[in-house]
Amino acid sequence: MIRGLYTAATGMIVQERKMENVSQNLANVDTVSFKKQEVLARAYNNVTISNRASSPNNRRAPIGQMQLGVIVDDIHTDFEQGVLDKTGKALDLAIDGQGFFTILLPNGQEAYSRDGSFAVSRDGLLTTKNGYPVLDRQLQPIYVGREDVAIDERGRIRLMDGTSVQLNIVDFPDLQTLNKLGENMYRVEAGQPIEAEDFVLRQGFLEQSNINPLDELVKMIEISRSFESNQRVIQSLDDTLGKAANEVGRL
Amino acid sequence: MIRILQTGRTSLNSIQKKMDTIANNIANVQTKGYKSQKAEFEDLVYDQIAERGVPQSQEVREGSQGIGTGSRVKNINKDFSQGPLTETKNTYDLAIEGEGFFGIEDGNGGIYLTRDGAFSLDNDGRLVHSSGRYLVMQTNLVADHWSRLDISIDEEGQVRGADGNTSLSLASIPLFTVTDKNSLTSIGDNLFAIEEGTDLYMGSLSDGLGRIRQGFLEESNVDLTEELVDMLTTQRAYQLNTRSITAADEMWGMTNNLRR
Repeated sequence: MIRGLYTAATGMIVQERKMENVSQNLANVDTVSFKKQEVLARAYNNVTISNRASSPNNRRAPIGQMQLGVIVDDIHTDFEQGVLDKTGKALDLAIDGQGFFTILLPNGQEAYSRDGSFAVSRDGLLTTKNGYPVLDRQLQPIYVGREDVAIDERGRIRLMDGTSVQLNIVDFPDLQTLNKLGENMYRVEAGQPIEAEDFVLRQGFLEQSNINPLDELVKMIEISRSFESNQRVIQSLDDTLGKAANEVGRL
Repeated sequence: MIRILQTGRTSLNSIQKKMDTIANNIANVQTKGYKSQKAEFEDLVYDQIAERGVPQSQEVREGSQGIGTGSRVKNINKDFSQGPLTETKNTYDLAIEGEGFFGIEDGNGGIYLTRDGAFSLDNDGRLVHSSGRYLVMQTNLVADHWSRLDISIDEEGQVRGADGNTSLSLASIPLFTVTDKNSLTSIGDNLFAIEEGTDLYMGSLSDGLGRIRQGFLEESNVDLTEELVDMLTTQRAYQLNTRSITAADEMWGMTNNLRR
């Protein structure tokens, strides 16, 4: 019985994490290029249950396999394409297909983002709205000078002096190696970025989040009910324990 | 559960800000030279699940995946696209067709920028903006007798006065712009303040700053239909996020009821 209490408790904890994740998805329903996440749960490793009490000579009599609760197995990011929304601004870029912009963080590291709502800084550099420089193929910041620049479908920026710069748009062999960093950016844990091939860059568009509110609401109901079921299990185990403690020995 | 409540709270705050900008746009649908604004969101930091005492698999423990903590407004984006011009036939009503701004003296030696060109001539012969401040211009001729002349202002901002057959060059009106227009802040009275340290460029039509049209005013560039649709979706997003708070509340209630 006591074992069951802990099993139900892991259920409640994991459901709570799942709900945290759904509320995070819903909070970012309007965030540019946001990709929904999902907490994946699985049963805890099997253990063999055996019985000593009812067997003769105190031998272990195996009963069978049992799973004692549930654990968080993975947090999966769904990189499905979001809808492109027309803004008409020259520095709003959307990647239609596979790819990420390369952003230079203040600590010198590179981060990756699909949020292409860029601006021109005071020094004329192409930056994100938070002021982080956007990098070119040679991993250098890009001087654009003015806001009205022409950017083609492959990410080449034509500058006023007639030269052109190539935006560093990269892809990853395994997208699940990317971890979210906040501020619409990702960091890569393992592996190197490769040059992105399968994309079309659209100027004057932004990619919306790929959240489907209906899916999230349904998940919310599921989680809420599953949490409730686990709570009921604990309550009924508690009742049973109460009986064992108070009524079994009564004369 | 506290985390879910906080996530819900951050998102309600940011959605509320978006609603504020929409309301402001709708309120200024008739304001001359108004530029519509739009709130852009970003996600907040991710809390690594490995550090939080959750039953988890080996991969999760060794990785650094996390669950996010909500959203916030990254930036209020101003849309500086051209508003439609309406004809007023007033001598001192000016509209800019293009990307520049009029400069308005702020009284401390600096300037504000505006797209609202409804000026009037005061007794000292200066052009006054609707906020009561003066337009920045280079005066060639002291203007106390402007009111007797037939004033014309050309596309380059050259002010000429005609008196019978003679035509005098009176003044020129320069246009201004900055590299990062999104750094301009609205300070009311249709004025934009320039962030300290920003380079200001002065020029006219030939510098690509736009043509001045006399006798026209620029209307607000707010698209009412778009704002109303945005308002609907924003309201629904707000509702949706109140649901996650309600859910967290119910879950907390259930936890409290574990021991009856």
